[in-house]
Amino acid sequence: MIVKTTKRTASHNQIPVASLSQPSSEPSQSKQSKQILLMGNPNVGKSVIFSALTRTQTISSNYAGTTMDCCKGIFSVDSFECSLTDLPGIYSLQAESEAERIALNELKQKPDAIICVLDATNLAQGLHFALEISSYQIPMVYLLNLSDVAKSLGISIDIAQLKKKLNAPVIQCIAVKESDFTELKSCLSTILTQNSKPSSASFQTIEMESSSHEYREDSKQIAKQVSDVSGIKTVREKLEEILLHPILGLFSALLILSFSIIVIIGGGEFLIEHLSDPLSKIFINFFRDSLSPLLQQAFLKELLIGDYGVLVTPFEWILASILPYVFMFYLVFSFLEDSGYLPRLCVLFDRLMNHMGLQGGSMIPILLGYGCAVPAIIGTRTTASRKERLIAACIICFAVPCTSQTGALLRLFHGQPVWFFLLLILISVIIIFTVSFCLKRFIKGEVPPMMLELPHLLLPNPKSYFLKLKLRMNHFLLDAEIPMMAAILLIALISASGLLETVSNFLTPLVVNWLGLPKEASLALITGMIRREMSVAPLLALSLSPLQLFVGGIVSLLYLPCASVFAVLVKEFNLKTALLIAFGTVINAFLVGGLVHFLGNFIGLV
Amino acid sequence: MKLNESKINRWYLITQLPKLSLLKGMGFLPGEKIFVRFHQPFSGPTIVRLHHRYFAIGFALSEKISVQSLPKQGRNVEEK
Repeated sequence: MIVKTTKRTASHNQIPVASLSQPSSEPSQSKQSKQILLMGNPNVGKSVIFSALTRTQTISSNYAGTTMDCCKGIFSVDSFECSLTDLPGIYSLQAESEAERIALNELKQKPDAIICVLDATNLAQGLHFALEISSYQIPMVYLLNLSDVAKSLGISIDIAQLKKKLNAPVIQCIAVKESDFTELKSCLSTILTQNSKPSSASFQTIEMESSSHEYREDSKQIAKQVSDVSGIKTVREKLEEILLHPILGLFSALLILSFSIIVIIGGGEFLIEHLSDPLSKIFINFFRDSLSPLLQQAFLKELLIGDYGVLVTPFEWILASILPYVFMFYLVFSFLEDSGYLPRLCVLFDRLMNHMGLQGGSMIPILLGYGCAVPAIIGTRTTASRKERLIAACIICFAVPCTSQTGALLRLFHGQPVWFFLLLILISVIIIFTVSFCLKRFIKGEVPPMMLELPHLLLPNPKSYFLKLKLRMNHFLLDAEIPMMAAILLIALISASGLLETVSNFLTPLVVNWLGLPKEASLALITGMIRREMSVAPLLALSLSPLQLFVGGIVSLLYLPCASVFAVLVKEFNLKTALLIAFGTVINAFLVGGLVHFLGNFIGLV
Repeated sequence: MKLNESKINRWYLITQLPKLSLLKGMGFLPGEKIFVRFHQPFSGPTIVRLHHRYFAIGFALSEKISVQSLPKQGRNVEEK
């Protein structure tokens, strides 16, 4: 059986999800196949439920827009082989947005059943959508998620009455804590066995001719009848308000971001000092000591255990320099994602983003870019216009360093004054503003104002939090390390074959005369095309003056998007746009690098 | 009055709003009661509460939403 899963998430795109795990059970040939849709408003926990049912490992976050495409998986219920389709979260079936059109198309395929996920903290809104779907006369099961959050907000829901009102099964759940959804499977089994369309209900018959307004009235009425609200403000709500407060919110944002940066850098350095550096030395010494007497041929010796040898460089560059920072970044970023804080940051910075031709919501894909540019660029799909999408993608490519590049840059500046790194960040911020201001003027089109639903603040669930961390580290180690290893092999070959001299001589006018770097730094420009951090890593092996370090860091930061980012740009936009962005980044990197070199020399920095 | 001109910590009734499916889907409809919590400075978004959820509405959009003030119902206490 082939499990076809086409999951795309904002934070973890292009991971063949099905390959990460196996479906819960292998259905036999005799099993009847059934189509089931998983629908609901954005950020109600559909992806968590999808993962639990199909036993696939997907990333979910506490903000709307994590799932941007249909995601398919398979699970078994008694004698049925159910093909489950996780649809992007939508608010209605008006077919005005891409996600709504996808949902409508799926509904027209006449699935055998629908699992409609409702948010217990906002029942009226979920019911409105549920009633809209119910007009399609497809058997439905309602999953009332976030019941723990609703309880903490003083909302209690009468499930029995809700079942009666909807004339369909309603299951209360806390999706992140569920493991097998036994009750849901049992309900599905009953529905699929009956194999008949529901006779449902007063509502369903009325709703065939109902307008959206009537659905709204009905949903409000049901929500009012079945839920009870205490009206007491909880600590969570108070905190939610503080984080949105015009002054306290900004102050908190500065504190949270500063603390996050300190944890990432401090934690990364701690890991390097106490774990990865000693460990990499053990491996390097082992290879050098054991292979040195065996390798007689100079070329082979240089290729395997030389300065850029394939058996030693990965430990020096990846394990001892980049991996600890990547780990710390995802540790912190995943926490911020799952807590629901990121959308609040978007609100606080909306006005600033407006000046850049973006709305506050675009801040999430840009922040994702500090992790990896690939999911960040796909994440720009959540933007409301093409203009905004293009500006956000350009910002990510021009001046947002990915986490492994940041790690490499921190390693490069190790032992230098802190202002070196701060100045580098400042320059990247200036570039971000310059690029966005220019594009805002040049690209035609409007950027619609922000309209954002803010998720509740939640303490991340350890299970899903560590799963996300594991998936992201797997992604880094498997998907990102392969091109990185290819780059290291290329460096080793260039170095061992003596080609480095030829390449360096060719690039001398640019690297030596314009940027003021040693000619060996040319290597960084070649390998930087494969992976972004590889435009920094070769510099680690060189003895550079502080000014050269800074110029090298600037050029690496602003240099070409890596090969996988280029491929995503082609896919998401087109070849012309991708080439224009790549060309722009190269020109920008050399221009700024050269200017910094001459300015540094002018003010007497060496 | 327009939403961007509303006072914070007050209940308002939505009287008119642009035809946007997203707004409708989120529950913003004429006749709906909202609680205005914050206006972000420098023409930033307005934070409103509707059915126990917070929503951020960009300035340009809040300029197009007409609301009518409701008598005070107590600070930030949701109606049952």
